[in-house]
Amino acid sequence: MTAYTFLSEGRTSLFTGVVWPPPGEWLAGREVRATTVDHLVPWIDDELWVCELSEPVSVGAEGEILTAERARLGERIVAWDEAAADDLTAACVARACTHAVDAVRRNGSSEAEALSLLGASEFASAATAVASRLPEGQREVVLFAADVVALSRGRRPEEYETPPDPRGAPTSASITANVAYVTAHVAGTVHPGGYDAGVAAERAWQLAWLRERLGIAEPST
Amino acid sequence: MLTCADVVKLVTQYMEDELSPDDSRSFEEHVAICPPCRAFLGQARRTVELTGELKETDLSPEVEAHLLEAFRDWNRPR
Repeated sequence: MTAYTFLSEGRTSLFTGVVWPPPGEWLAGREVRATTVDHLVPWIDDELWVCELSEPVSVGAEGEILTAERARLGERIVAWDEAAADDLTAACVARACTHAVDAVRRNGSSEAEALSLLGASEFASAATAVASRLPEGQREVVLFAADVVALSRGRRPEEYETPPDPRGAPTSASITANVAYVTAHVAGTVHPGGYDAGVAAERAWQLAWLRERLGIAEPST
Repeated sequence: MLTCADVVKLVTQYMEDELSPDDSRSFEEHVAICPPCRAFLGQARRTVELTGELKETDLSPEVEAHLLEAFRDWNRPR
């Protein structure tokens, strides 16, 4: 069965630390896991590979985790690189800010127009002051969106203003995974259809972005 | 979704494959989206690897004495 697997740099599994052998050589000796094209986003990491799983393949309850006794890497999807990760991060940041502005606007606040004119960095800097003037509910979503901006710089929100520390800096892809998750949370917080609907819609948008950028197949139905 | 504190608490059980499938999945879902916990898991794994390679004879007498002193009273009530 053909599947996909995100790996850390050097064909390394984030969870087990196992280094996959070069493409074409089987990895065996323990359960090997991969995922389907439909479920790539939650597992974003540095490298994206097509892989082949030996039969039988066990499918997890939600269909996103595939397990087999052996697997081997096929082609690396080279379009997934630092630039692609950075672009997806930037797209998520823009969407998080837009979600926040839309929520403020829907609630009739006069702050919405001023917020909508801010770039991401200005949004983060202004968020605390703006949020203090907003009613509960709108306040949180503005602060969540500001958190997304800070997280996109690879640091915790409370460290936003401090200079970057190159030691142990997270990779572009790990920042993307983080920012995409929190952006989905922002979307869930403001979605008229409820939290789960908002998260699902945002994850679907992120998957569509990945699919288009990387030129990979449509999700199966 | 677990918190970072949960990940710290569960990391040994995770690495020793002692978590239930659901807990293991929750652990991985958090690690996948949390850069500090990614780094922490890598450090924990590296620590286990390095200490697994360490032999008693690798320690200098000075380091051995320092460690014995440090751990002599480690579980004494404070």
